[in-house]
Amino acid sequence: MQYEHGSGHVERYVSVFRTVFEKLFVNKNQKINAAVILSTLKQEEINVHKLKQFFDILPKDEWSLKTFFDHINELNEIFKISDEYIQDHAVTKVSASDIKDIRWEILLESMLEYSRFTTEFYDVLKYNKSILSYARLRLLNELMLVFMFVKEDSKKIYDRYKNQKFSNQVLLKFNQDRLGIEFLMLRILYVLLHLDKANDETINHYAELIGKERISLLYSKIPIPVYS
Amino acid sequence: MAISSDVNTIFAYTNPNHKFHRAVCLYIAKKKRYPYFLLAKVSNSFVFTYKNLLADCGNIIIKEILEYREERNKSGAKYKLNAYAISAIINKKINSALDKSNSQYLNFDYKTAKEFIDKLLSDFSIPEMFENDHSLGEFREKYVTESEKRAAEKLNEFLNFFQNFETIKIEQYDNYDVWLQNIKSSKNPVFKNKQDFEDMKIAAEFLSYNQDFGQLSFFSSDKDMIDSIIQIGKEYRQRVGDMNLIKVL
Repeated sequence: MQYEHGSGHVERYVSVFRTVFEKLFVNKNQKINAAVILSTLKQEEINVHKLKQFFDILPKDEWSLKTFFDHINELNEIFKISDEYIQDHAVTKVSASDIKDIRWEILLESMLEYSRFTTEFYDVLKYNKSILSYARLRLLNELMLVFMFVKEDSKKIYDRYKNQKFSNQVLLKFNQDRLGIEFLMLRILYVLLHLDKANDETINHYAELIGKERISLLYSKIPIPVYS
Repeated sequence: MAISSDVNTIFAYTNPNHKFHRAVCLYIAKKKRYPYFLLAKVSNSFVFTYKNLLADCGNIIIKEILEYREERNKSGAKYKLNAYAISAIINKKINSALDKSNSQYLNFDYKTAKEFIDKLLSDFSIPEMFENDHSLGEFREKYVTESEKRAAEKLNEFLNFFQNFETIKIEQYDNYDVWLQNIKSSKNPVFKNKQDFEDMKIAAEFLSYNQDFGQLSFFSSDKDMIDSIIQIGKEYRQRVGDMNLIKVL
């Protein structure tokens, strides 16, 4: 298609749309940075010794959400998602507000990952055909129920937030929604790291901890207290 | 004044064969119009224990099938067993394991467990599970999820008896931890010499409610629990509501 009358005007016009689009949309989209940081994080070694040391300071009995809130900073340190880490591993130069966007993308992406890997774990447990003691069977049942909750809930959360733009309000709601998942995943990690030397009595105790904490989260009707 | 109860009361209410069943029903009939508060620790313990008692029946079935399957494999038998034989042998093993398991739980109604299993086994046949791993997995998923639904139904049955009830969750607040610590460091040999952890947690939640929100009454058929709460209240100068012991009729 040609516009003969317009050709004289076009001669004077320098096209810069590519730059404008790139600056406004491509560079502002932190999905690529989030994907890169997540994949870098996967290659990092996890310091099991440090993780076990951290678990040693947690109560041996049931945890409440308060236990979780009280140790958020140590957890972030162990799992290495600090602002500096994001800054060091981002593929573009990032500002403070970009870091917030990247964090948001990482959080969203992690929900999808939770859903994928818990589905696999769940099926492994569901079709397990080893002959286990009753204590181990009880633990298996509890793990199945947690994975079922995580796989369904994380997918719902991802679908609910995937198209929402980052804001403090959205983040607050998102954090409230994902809190149960994060709490239970931490408990499962604790149990799995202590399982190698556990006898049936201890395994029964772990099954009880996981079961009661999950029920406590799912059956709560009272708003969660806000801790600063 | 609002009232609350312990876990055993809910078990006694939901099990017609329980020795406290009539006494509990009569007691709560009188208190029907009172506001009832279900403590989080009571609710969690009931759902968890009831669910486990039902899920254990499923665990027994899975265990018996897998053990018999291994026994057959190891025996090197030349001929495959027919479905009737598999069903008869495994059913016998399951029934004997169930009898043994149910005799250990005083709070639980055997009929409920039997009905639960019969319903499950109307969807999954034993010979099919013996031959087919997929079917065994589906069965496991079914009983794990169904058992918790049943527990929640039973809890609602108890709660619905009261004209108004609320579930409360004091365990998340700071005072709960303080009270739990108070109980653990008490000078008295309360809560069966501090060995009954479930009751200690319920008492901690109950006492922190009384401290934060006002007096709450309590009923239980467990004398030790009632006495222990009264002793702890006196020791730490915490006033509590009426403490009512339900006696067997």
